[in-house]
Amino acid sequence: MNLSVMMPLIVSGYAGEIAGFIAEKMEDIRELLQKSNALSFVAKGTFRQLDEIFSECSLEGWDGDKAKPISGEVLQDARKFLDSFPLGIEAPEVGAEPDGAITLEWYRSPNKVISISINPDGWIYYAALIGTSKRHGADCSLMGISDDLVEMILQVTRGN
Amino acid sequence: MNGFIAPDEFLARYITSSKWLHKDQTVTQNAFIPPDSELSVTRHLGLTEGAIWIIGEKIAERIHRSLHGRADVETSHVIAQHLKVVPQPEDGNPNHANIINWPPDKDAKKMCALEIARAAHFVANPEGKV
Repeated sequence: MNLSVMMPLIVSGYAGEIAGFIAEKMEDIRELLQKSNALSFVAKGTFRQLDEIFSECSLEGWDGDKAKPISGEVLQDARKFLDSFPLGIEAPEVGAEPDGAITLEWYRSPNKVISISINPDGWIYYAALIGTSKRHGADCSLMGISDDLVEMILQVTRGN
Repeated sequence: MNGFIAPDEFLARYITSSKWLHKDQTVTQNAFIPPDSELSVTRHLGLTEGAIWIIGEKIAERIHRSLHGRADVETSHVIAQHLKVVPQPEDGNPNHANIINWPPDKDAKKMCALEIARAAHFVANPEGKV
């Protein structure tokens, strides 16, 4: 048997096991950190604000006009969406829209703001004004927060 | 009631939720998202300051909420978003109007609402708490 041919295979197999082990541990740590980020939202009162919004806006016409009520499903979708946030994201201001959506907003000034709606249709919709740049679009809320949205939130919140 | 709404006419959107205000007393876009195809506003036209507040107080009383204030915006800023303002007088509010012609997609609606909120000016209810 030619050892010079075998060795790289043995080494790469061993390295592969180590790489797998490290990747597994990294994933464990990432999950742990993500839980701690969700706990941070709890500490900052974001989840409490969600419950307040739900109780304030769960009746038809809560805006004095024709507002639709916030449903329990939208509340759960908002919680799950927040759970998907990576570490280091500032806690948002929580609000409600008259079409039955819950909003998460990061605001610095009228020219530096991003608003995300968790809609009754299971989608999230966002709009942002960041200086002269305007962005808007949609994502499926089940997929969690996208890298693109994280980047926009950081553009609004970084540097104050 | 005049059927034409001039671009320099002011419109009021009553603020019945404290969560429609930022900490710096600017209005959030949430206040300008329509529940369906139209958004209710009140024209300032011909009303005294006191009369504008009385209409708002009646709306807040109807839902047992505090009237935090109102967001005033010039019609030109609404028209700039390709929206229309049409008079829709109601019992107790002959100055009632609707903002219509909203884009079908929610994200496009949000962008319109952000732009209107950016141009709006919050006026606190002199009788209430913000």
